[in-house]
Amino acid sequence: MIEDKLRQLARSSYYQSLYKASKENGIKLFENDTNLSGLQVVFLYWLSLYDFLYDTLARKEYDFLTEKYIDSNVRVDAFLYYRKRQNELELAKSKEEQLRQRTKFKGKKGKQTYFDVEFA
Amino acid sequence: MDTKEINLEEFKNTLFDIQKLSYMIQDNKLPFTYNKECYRVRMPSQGEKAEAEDYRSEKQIEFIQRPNCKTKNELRKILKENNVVDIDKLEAQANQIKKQFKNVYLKLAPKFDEDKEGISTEIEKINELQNQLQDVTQEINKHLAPSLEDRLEGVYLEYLVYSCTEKLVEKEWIKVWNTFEEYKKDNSPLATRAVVCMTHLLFNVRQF
Repeated sequence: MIEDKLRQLARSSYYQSLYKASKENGIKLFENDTNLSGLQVVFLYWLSLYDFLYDTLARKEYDFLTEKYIDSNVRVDAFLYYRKRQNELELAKSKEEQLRQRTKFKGKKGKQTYFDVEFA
Repeated sequence: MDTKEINLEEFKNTLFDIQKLSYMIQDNKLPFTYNKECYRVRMPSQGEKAEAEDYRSEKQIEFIQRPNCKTKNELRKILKENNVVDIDKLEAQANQIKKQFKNVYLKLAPKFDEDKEGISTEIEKINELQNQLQDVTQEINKHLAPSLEDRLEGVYLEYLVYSCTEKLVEKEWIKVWNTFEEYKKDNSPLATRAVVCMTHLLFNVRQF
């Protein structure tokens, strides 16, 4: 599949270095600056995604994430879904926590009033 | 499979070559050879996209006046009522497979490199699900291909191929077909190759 090959190119050290240089020093990635082809758009997506994965690897955020791991498209797809799911669960948990910590105020006649407080 | 098809398959495979791909992404043009001559398809300009849109709208008006022209929704209904196929069921099947995918992903993701057996078991499951999903998707696409929407996509693509396919003549790129009629009459493998190249260049990314 063409997308598998695009991913192989995007995670190569050559294109990863080029991508970093383009972000930091504005080095051109393509001959054309505008009117990107669909292929180029998809390639850019994978470049940024692998850039993020290598950063995550460097930060040692996940102990199972290795270079070998990143070389496998299926495992990377699985990781992206796993991470998304983790984020969703964390968000749900923090919302639940916020609800539990709603500030209680005692009003007149001993009635309790609840206020929703959003914690950034 | 006839010779023309084999050649087209070979041609598609050459596009997947990693070195060629590396070259292909350098620019928004995709060069190819045919009968030892150099051709290319390039990304359409705004004007060419607008022209293709106009042509598509023109064809839409023409198609909807034909008695047998059916939209995707109408076609779904006809296919179901005549017991040909239930697209809703197929789509539900596809969604079910996607759900299974997610479950396998959650098992596969936290596995360490050392767990080779565990990794390969989950990857096998994913490959199996991928095949199943591909079969269902192909079945849906096959039945909905005669729909107005799909035909208009085809019309749009053909117009772009006509506008943006060029041949190298004495160091200059010139249009292969002078008119759309000329393109439509061309049954040579060149036209088919140009369609394949344009499909890859656009890569299903709609920016317009």
